[in-house]
Amino acid sequence: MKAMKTAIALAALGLVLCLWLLIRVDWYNFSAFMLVAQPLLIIAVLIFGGAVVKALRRQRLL
Amino acid sequence: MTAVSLAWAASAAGEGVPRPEGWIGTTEQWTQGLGIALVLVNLIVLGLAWRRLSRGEAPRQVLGLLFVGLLLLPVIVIFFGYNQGIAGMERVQACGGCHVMTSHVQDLHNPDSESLAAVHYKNRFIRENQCYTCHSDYGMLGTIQAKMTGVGHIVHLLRGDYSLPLKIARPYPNVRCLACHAESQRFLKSDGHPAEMRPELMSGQTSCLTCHAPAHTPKEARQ
Repeated sequence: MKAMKTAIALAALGLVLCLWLLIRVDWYNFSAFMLVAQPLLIIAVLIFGGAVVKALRRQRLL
Repeated sequence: MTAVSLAWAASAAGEGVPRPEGWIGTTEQWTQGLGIALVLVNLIVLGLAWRRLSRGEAPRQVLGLLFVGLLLLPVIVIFFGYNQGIAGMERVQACGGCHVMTSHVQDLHNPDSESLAAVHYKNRFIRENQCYTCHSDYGMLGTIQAKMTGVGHIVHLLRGDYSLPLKIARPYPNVRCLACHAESQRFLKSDGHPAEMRPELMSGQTSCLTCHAPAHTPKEARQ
């Protein structure tokens, strides 16, 4: 539960940075998009994937 | 539609001259609008997932929402982000965004400047993305190389290991000039480009800038 909420919070932060880039492009928000937003979204996916794998292992489906 | 209108307003804000985009807008404006709409939808999906988790539902029960909100939509949003970001980085305003380039951009806008770049810019010989058009090679690899060079420029800027006036790192290749000019009648009929000299220009043995310099006259270079 806590891991999922962390993933959601990280993804939301990454998405806000994406929104900033989509509204107006400059060096600052393009750098923020590449160097911060993408890693945040990737970490969120990894947390999500990790939780899914853990749940599947617990049910002995994996 | 609201997101598209927002994107339209955002892109139109910096333009003084109306563009021939018709009532439906340009692909870029639609991409921007759809990107904004997708981010908003994604945030709503994540908000719903958060709410259901807070109410005590097991993550398994909100798996669909989490899959869409954490994986599916972000992948599409990143695609739209790159589409918008890479296109935006090709604009003159983006090049002028670093303070060391400000005087180069001012030179472009200066009505009294006779530098090669200013003449091309002022007369709209190149309609848009003037810096990028002249400073990137053609084709996919040229675009990638230009982006890598741009990253190198950011590193130099952050480290402060550059000196003014800025100078081009490598000799400017003629192929970038010739891609537009080589087959134009003005080029072919010019006394400055006699037929016997053209092989030298085509091979790059003689630089176009031998006769057509200076390319830029930023204020540091004029002082």
